[in-house]
Amino acid sequence: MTRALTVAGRELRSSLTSPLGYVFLALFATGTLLVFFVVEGFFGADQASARGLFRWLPPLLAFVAPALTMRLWADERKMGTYEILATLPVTSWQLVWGKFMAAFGLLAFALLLTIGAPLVANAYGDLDWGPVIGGYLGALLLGSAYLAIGLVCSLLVMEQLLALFLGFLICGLTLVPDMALRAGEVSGGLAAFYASIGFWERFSSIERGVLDLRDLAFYLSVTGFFLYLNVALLRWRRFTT
Amino acid sequence: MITAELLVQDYGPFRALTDVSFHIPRGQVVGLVGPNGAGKTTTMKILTGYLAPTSGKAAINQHDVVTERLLAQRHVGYLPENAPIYRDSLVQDYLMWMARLREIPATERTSRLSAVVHACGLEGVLTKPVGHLSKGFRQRVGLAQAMVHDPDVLILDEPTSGLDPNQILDIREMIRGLGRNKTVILSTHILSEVEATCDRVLMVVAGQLHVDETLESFRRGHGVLLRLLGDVPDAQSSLATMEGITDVSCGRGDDGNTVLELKTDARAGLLTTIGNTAAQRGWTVVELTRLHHDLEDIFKKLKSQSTEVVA
Repeated sequence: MTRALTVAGRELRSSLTSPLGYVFLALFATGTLLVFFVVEGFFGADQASARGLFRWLPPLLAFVAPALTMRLWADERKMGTYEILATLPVTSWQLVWGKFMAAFGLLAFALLLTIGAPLVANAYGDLDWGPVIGGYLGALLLGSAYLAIGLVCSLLVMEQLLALFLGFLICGLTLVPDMALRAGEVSGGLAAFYASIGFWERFSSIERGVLDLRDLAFYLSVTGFFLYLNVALLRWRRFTT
Repeated sequence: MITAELLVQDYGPFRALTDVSFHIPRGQVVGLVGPNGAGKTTTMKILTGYLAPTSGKAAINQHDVVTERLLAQRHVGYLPENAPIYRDSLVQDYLMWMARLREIPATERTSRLSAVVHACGLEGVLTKPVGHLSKGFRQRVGLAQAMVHDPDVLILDEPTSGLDPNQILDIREMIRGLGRNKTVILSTHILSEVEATCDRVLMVVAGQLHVDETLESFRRGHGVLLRLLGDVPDAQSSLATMEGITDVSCGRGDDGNTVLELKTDARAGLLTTIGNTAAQRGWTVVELTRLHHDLEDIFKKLKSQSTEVVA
């Protein structure tokens, strides 16, 4: 764990000195707040609620997560620094966990930037903080799943921009079943199946303030699976390259 | 200390290493030489645990680099080619980070860092980002990170490439100093480097180990030149039957003398035997000497052979 934290620490420091990191964080915060205040029409509504903030969070997270992870492996391999990293007495899990924690820290920071929305809502009326906290917890878990996916993308290519687009693509795909559901184009058994694999539909109950363990477990297992895939790919690289 | 047994490495259909074996005892500085693409870096990547060989085994201090990777890696410091280091890190942050990952206890980190900073002459650049350093300083930071945990084994891939002559001398001096109590493997395609720093030569050509000798015997070579006065027609046939001589080629010099080039095995006292034989037969010896082969020559010869094979 200490080793992973050391890896994460360097990544965080490195991210905070890169202008690109700030651009994406700013884009995410602006986008989220715009959606909340303008698209969801907070000021036109009569009630003090932060639901509008979470309604659009899945696509926004699918956008920001690959940006937070794109550099993490791709750059190591492009600059050759991975060669030193891979010859340190550190396990593949420690490396992956370190990279993931760095990205998770940035994600938490990104979400913290949106706290203005519930704060404003609270100023207009008595805000029920329970669903807000639940919403943020759900956002962290969904975001984790996207970060784990983004990390795999970063491991597959050597150009960070390519990793970014690959990440957008795969994270975007996780929302397709939900969009089909919303368009009302599927029904019956297929609809149930779509609802079970869609990332967005699960978030709508979280958005309503309902934390279902099954939803949280779903995001956690996706995260676990993709982190494991990361480790497996790193190990596999040692045996092929 | 370092053992390699029948290492084979395939990259897809391409065989980069074929049955490479060697054993390196503690305290030896070994030069891994060969043309570019011969398999030097691949060998190093296997020894550092970066790459698992397709077949064969390698071990550092008896720890297998694949099955006991972490244990083996604790004893190794590695400087990859071109010293790839995070460009945005400050030198001191980077070295401190390496010290943490190298599991140096918190209480010893500062003293270890100042030791390597001093050894590599990095005092003046500690607060500079690595990306702003010259090639020479980056190489030194690379050496410093390889030594930060005081490893028994140092593996240095082309440690002097891209440096100016002064920097090359500095680095060579450091390596010679390290060789006093550490095992060092360095790769290079500059042969004078081997002569300047190494005790032993491993030459890899087209993925195969062609030469494994101490620098001394490698330079001495196994050839003998014998020049006899006038025409001595029976010299070639009578020398060819001598024990220890494997091949004799004979020619005539411009001055009419007989020039013989003998290929011999490594046995001692052979020159004396040849001299005695000449005296017994009544030949007048003009010159009798060992052929010192130049590393560059062998290198060129091997290189042209290997290109013939490819062609």
